[in-house]
Amino acid sequence: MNKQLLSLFLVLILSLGLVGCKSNPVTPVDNNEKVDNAEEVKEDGILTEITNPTEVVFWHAMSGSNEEALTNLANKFMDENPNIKINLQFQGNYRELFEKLMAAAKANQLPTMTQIYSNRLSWYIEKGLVENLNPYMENEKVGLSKEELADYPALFLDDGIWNGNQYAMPFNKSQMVLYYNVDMFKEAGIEVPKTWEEWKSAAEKLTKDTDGDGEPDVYGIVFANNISTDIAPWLKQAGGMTMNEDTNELYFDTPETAEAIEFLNGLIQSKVARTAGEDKYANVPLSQGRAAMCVASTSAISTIEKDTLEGVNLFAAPLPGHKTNDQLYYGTNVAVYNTATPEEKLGAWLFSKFLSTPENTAYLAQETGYLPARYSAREIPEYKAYLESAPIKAVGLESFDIGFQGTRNIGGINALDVLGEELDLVFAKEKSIPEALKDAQERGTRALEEARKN
Amino acid sequence: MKKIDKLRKSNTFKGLLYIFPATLILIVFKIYPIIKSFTMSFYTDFDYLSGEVYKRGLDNFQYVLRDPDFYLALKNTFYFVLGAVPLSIILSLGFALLLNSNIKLNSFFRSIYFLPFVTSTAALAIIWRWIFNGDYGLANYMVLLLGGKKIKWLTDPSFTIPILVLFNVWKGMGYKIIIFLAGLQNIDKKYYLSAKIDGASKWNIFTNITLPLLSPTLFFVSITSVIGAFKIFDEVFVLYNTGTGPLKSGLTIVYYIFNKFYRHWQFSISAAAAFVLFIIILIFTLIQLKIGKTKSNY
Repeated sequence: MNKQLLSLFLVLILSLGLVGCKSNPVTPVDNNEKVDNAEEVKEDGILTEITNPTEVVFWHAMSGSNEEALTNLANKFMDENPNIKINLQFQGNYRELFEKLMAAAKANQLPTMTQIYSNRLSWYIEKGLVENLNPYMENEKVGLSKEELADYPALFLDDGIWNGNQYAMPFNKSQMVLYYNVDMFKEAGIEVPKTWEEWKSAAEKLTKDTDGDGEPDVYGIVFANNISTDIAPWLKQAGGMTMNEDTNELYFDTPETAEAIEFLNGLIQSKVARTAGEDKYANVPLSQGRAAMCVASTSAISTIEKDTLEGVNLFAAPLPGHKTNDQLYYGTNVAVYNTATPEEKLGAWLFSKFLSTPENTAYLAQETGYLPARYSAREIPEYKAYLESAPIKAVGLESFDIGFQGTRNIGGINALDVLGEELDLVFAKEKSIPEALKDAQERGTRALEEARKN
Repeated sequence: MKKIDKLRKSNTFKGLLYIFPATLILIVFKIYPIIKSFTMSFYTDFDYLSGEVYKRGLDNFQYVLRDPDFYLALKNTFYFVLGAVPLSIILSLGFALLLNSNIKLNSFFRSIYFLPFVTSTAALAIIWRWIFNGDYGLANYMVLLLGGKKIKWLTDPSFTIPILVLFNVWKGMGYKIIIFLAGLQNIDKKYYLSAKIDGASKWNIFTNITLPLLSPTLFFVSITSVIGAFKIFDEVFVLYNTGTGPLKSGLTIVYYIFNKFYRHWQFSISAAAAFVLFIIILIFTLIQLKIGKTKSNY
């Protein structure tokens, strides 16, 4: 063996490795040199007109009929703005989309704009990668008027505001609602529950064990498997909350949380409620007549309608309240990354705005299970007529003013995951509630701190 | 002499040239990430995007080694390895012996056993989920036929590892059978003939001829099986709907690493956990190599 050559080769390997180690820092790009062909760059650094063909890459997680509706909207936008090409790129489900965004951020290849949850976006905002939309919004030429702004339900706009800056515009919104089997309620002669007590007694009355094996064949209520992710409404209704966005404090080990968990656990232990388990989604047993009620998103309506067995009549209602009547809304927004060129950013803003005009948000709502992000959308004649033919889709429109969206702390998902693990132990009778909440508080706080380290 | 030297030199160069493309790919996609993730495991405060590191230290290892979840993952993985490796080796060796004995439809059976190996894990897991569904699964149908009570196969934590073991053994068997068959067919028939002349029993032939002469193959299969078993992830991921099974009973080391990285974005902790897994696998492989050196006949 030739030692010289071999050592040369090894040095080559080593140096290659070292070259790879030298990383290119990702910095928000200042693309001023690229805009030589731009008409004008305003003082606040934004463009207000696009004269050259510009491509806007939009990453999303909409499939099936959702994707179709989005594609139609994009085509309509491109007809109206022939200079802007919207390149829709489907990235898989939400989780896959967020994984790819993270990798893209590292590789400095973020799309122009993306569909994203606010609790995910906060990390990018802290990294300084997200375009502040205020200059666009307040601009006379491309912005929104006061009346238009007031037409957005406050909870949707607020979900995109950090420190007074609008970093995201509302896109596909939905509400966590109670679906129920109309006929089962009729048969039992009970009303749709409005309070926790009514809810509990309804669940008790509607749970049925026909073959007497101790396992109910029809459950009163079915919850989602990861109940902790969207535990916020019950904590709020009990007078508490999950965490504080400003101080980053967790409120898992509080009397309010304990009250909410005791209520949920009581339902599960008395076998009138369960989590989805092998059914995967809470609406599956309801659609098949194996449950009387389930808690799920209004965005599931189209799937539910498609999968519901014949003879099963479903309807929806806001969640039953307790001390307060807070209702959880969720869904993603669209955000623009500042790594794009001024033209691309303007194009992305125009498309964000376009997606939430009353007509377009009403169109999206009509074609999908999502809710319109504008009050005036329900005045659009087609949508109005549509709601009359599909009254279940109007349920989510009732609670905008008592609605809230989830907290957006960095690492908040991790903390809620910890709470979920502890709740699973409670539901399996392996841990008492005070013990579990104490551990959840401790471990969750650690998770929140850890998440801020990178 | 000089000529030979020259020739040798050019040959070495040629050889290096041949392996260059593969080496390049290995360096870029394997070696560099390994080095990178190793260095990353020491980052205690850093900016993931810019790659700027503010502080280094052993905190991540401390975190991992103090995390009860990591020990749970270790425990689950060890149970899995202990169950899956011996069972898969014994079963596939048994089937290989049967297939080697010139039974009818030999190649048909070989294909049948090989099918699960070439089918995607995701597709298989969906079928298994149906078989073990607590309400209408085939497994529970059988149990009911035999007069038993419905078993919650997929939602009872105590069944998680056994089901994963079964799934893994069944899925990997075809591959191992082929390897064993190749090993068996390499054994010279003369030994069997002379053993027969000496009047050796079947068991004697197996323990004194087949097993020793098969030991290199056995050795290879056991090392790759142990390494593979330690890395179990996709089976859990798809069988339990991208979760870790009931009450984290299917949380394995790789799942822990995956969760820390992709779900919780704790990149450096995940790198530290990956390094710990590497050390564990290394130790086991070294032990096996040591045993292999003393026991196997080359």
